[in-house]
Amino acid sequence: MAEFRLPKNSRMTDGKVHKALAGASNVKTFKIYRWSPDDGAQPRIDAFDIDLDDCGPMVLDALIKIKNEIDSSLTFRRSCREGICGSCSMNIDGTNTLACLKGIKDVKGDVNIYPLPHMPVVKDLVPDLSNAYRQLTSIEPWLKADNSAPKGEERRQSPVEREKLDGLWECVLCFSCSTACPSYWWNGDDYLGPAVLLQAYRWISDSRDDQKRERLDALDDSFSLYRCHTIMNCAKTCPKGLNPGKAIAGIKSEMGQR
Amino acid sequence: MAHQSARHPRESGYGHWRWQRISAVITLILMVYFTYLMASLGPLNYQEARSFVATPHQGIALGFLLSVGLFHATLGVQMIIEDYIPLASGRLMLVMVARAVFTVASLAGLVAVGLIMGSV
Repeated sequence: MAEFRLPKNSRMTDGKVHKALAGASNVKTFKIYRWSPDDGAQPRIDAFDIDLDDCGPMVLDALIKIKNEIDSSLTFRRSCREGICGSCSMNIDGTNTLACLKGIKDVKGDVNIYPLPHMPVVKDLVPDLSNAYRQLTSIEPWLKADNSAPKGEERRQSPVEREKLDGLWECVLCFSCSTACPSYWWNGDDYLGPAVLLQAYRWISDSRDDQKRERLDALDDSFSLYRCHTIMNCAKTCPKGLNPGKAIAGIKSEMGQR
Repeated sequence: MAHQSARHPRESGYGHWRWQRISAVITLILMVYFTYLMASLGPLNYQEARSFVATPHQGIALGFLLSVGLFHATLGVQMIIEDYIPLASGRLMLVMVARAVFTVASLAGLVAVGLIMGSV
């Protein structure tokens, strides 16, 4: 039976409004998705007025300020605050990105913040990434060499071989790309998604790895790789400026050269 | 490597992807021929049109267009079904039905062209 309304626990309601303190002159409103599994209530959008003269420049600074000074129950992931750990990925102003790399001044009007789309929500801005991590594990993202490294030496690469990994190793696994991909929304159980496929290509491209053929064979089914229809939301949204779509095209090219 | 889904038959994704592109290029070229065929048939009456199609090179080209075009359509429809129809909603059955329908359509087209070629 077709459903024409979102289920009740997906329908948004208006939440609390936290006004700025008197005297604040440079105020911006942050509208933040809130949902807790504990109270049985529908998700709501809370509004927080923040004085930007008393706040750091990034969206993550504002979230930390809200948690520290206004509502300690606001839940989100964060760690490094400099775009390295990938923890604070969320949907800001309609685009998946890292809160620590998104400048508040880059957002016109109110700052709308939601969890990564199309993932189960654990609480507030924390999505359940279990499926994505399971998929990452499945591609065995580690070096698989037939022989051990020469004793006392590292496995060497030429500069040309090393350059093939540029644009791949920088991924911080924030899953902004996968959760921006319509194909991943539709078939997230079976399609590996751009983040995991970029990681797969990182190991397929590594001159030190001896399991290239096996890695490609494992991707050669109808769903793991070939659900990518080059929509390119992944490249558009990546907060690190990477191009998972190009990596996926690289895997398809390698498939033909097996 | 353990990520292949046990919920789907082991079918090469690369084979489907490659044939979809090869058939697309061939169909594109044959569509140029199809445009020429339509333009040629325009001023002819029914009998003249039958005679025109019945010539060996026209009949073979038309049969080739039907086969390759419908093969490409089969692959495309399978892709759409796999994208949008959940497994629990009969995805595999729909793919088989689509393949059967396009195979029958292709065979019917070839028989029709053959009958025209044999009747003139």
